Amino acid sequence: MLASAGISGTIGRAFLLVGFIGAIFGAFAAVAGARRNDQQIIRLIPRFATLIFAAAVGAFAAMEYAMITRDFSLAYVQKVGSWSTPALYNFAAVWSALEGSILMWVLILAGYTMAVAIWVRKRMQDVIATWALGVMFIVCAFFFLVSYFPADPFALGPPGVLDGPGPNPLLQNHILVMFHPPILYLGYVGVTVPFAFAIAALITGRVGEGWLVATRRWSLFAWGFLTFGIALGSWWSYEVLGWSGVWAWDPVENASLLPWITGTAYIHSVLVQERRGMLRVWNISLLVATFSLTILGTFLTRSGVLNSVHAFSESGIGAWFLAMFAVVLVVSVGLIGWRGDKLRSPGVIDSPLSREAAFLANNVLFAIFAFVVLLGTVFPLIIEALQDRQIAVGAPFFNKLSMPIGLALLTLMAIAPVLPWRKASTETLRDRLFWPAWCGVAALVASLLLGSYGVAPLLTFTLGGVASGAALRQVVLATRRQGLRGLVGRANGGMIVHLGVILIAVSLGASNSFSKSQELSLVANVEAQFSGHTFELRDVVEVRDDRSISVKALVLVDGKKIYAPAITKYTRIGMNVGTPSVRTSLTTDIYLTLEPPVRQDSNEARIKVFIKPMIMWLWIGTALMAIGTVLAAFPGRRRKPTEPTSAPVEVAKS
Amino acid sequence: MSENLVLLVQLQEQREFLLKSLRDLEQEHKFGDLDDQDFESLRKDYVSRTALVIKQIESFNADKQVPQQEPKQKSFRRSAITTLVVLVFASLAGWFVAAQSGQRLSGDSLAGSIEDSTASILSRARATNFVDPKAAIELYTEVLAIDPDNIEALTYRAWLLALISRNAGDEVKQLAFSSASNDLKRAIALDSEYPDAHCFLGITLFRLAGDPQGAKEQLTICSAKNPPAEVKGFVDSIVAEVDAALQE
Repeated sequence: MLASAGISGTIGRAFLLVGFIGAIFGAFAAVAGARRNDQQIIRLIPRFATLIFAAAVGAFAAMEYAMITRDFSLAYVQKVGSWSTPALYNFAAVWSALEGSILMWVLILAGYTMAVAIWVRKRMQDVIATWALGVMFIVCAFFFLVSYFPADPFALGPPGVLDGPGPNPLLQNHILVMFHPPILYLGYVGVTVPFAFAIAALITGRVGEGWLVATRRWSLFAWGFLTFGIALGSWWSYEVLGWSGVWAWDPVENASLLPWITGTAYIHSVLVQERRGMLRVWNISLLVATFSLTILGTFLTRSGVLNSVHAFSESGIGAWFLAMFAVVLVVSVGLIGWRGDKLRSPGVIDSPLSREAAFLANNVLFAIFAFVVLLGTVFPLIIEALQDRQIAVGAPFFNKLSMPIGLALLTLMAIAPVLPWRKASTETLRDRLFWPAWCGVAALVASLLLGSYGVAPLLTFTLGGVASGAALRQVVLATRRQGLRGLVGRANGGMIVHLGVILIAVSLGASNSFSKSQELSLVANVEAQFSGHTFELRDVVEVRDDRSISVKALVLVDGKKIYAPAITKYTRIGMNVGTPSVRTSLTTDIYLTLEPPVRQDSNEARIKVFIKPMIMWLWIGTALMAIGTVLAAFPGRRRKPTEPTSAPVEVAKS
Repeated sequence: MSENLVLLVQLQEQREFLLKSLRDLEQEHKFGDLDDQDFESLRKDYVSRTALVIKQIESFNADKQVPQQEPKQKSFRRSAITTLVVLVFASLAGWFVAAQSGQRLSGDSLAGSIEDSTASILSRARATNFVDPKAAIELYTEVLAIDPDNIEALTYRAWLLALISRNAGDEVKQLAFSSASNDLKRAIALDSEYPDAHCFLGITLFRLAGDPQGAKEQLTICSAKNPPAEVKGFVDSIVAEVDAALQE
């Protein structure tokens, strides 16, 4: 069969096979090397890492080559390729469906494995590093295997196909398709690194703080990519889907949010372990949960059990991922149980009014949040399995529960940064909360003066004020002492991230509470008004190209500029996709969509108008979070990040 | 490595970690990242933990055994309360999610939803018009919240309201008629060419208000404007009754 395959298919499959074999050998080398402390075998490990990375790059390049040359002998190219797809979207078409997205996972995972191998190359004799690489090789082997068998992107399709439909129209409608999936995957897959080190620590029994400090930056970058990837997804939803929202609680969105929630809990609670030696079991459990949720999320979204805009067609990978999820859970829980005694924390929380107690409360809230999101996402599946009823859990469930949790987290964000470690006195709290409290009062007064109303939004703005006061206090104190260098480091970078989160919370509070929308029936050259703005239809035009027919309504907004919401029919797939047109400013977005039915020769159009306050601050907040994450990753005044606290310590001579 | 040796290596790692952390702490304090209070409390904690670890290492060096820490007594009461809280929370969340769930129609997502356009809400309402009139009324109300002048939503919400009030008491029927006829008249005012509104107003006037004259006028306009087959079926079934009532 292979002989008749397109050349790229044959080469791609060969690369996948080499990658799988390399990963298996790498795993054996790591396990045998670590168990026997055989340096000759251990020295082979980086070579296997290089081999699997080269194989993954080769397989991915073969797939890109097949897509670019439109090799329609491959079933995958028949499914998502088309001669009429523009080059950019054709390049991104490789990860626009199940098989290609798994291939991208393989590439990124192999890249991480090689990066870790390079990072630990000078301390390969340390068994934690060896075991961690062993775990990564095992995960790599699983993904190479999935890509080789149930999600084979190089499988042959029926003969005689000369053209295809191209990717889903939603995936060839905006430049973000180039960035959102890869960045999200960098986050998803990046979690494997700290997870592998956690498992290695459990296997070796060296469950102190060494491995944790060593992998801090890996965790932070994985979390940063996940955050940025999710934010880009929100932006995409806003710019492409035409419903003016940024988050719909769609199962696939939830699948990316779940590991983010547990990951966020982890990067907070890990500080408690570093400072006080506490929460060891909890931290390892959070890492296991985060990695497991990436596997579960992949099962949910790639197995075909869900019905959503993101879900790919039914495939055979569901059982594979479910089995992997079970193995990860059983092995991890078994190891945690085995090492239970060593994981016992030496310290206790001295006072509920302390930094560590606030972190603990933060973690409890994140755990509740994760449970709520997971429950709402899988509940319909459970009911369908048990009762054969098809139900849906709508956005109101998630909104009702996430709002109080969000407000509670904002409260903690306001208080925790000013709380001292171990115990807070009344005087300390009074001193440290003085300016944040005034910031809260100022935010409340300003929002009232600007016409805000309602308990939830006012509470959000006030808590946002206090929290930003607390974060700014830290940043100002640091920069007063150290100048711009005060912005660098974990504590200060973290506060920049907090400021970004606060901007996002305030933006969501404002846009959810004070948005207005109306459908307007516009007649050409007749002005309509809504919410203090004027809208005038100038024309309805049709634009055709090889793959689509777009009908655009040209609408003059406030007599200044013409905006062009459109509906595009992708002729090969027969799917209509709306494209909104947005006037963006720092205060308010005016978001226009064209409502069907619409005809090019008509002098009328139905336009839906959304007036959404403060949306721009959502994206500014995201940028601030990204900057803060980078600043937090710098070592600041603490130890050099490359200094191996997990390096082997010479055993005391007896 | 034997278990004792692993424990020793871990203790030595721990010692290194704590000593480095102490040095870092002093650096952080020196450069102002930590204030005096945090510095003092953390330093005390690090020092006491370091002392304990060093003591354990020395003990190993002396008799080749690492002293085992006294296992903490697990509090049964605390475990029971924690379990109870988790169970209560899980039960409440389960009840809440069940209460918030609804039927999943074809094309619906398993979880979450996006704010639909009136076109998609109307198509869902049309599909449930006579299967679940209450759900359809809610969908039409949703459309009217977005677009108060939506003629189809005004017309069909009024019609369904009139239909479900047929078997109600006089007072409810009167209220339903009042609301339905207002909406239908508004729909006609917005677009007098829309036949469905005339048809339903005619039927409503006859059935709920006992006004054959008014009904006849609306049904005549309705027939002249070529209503959809489904609506025409309703009209045809009532025309004879209206004519008979007029002749009485």
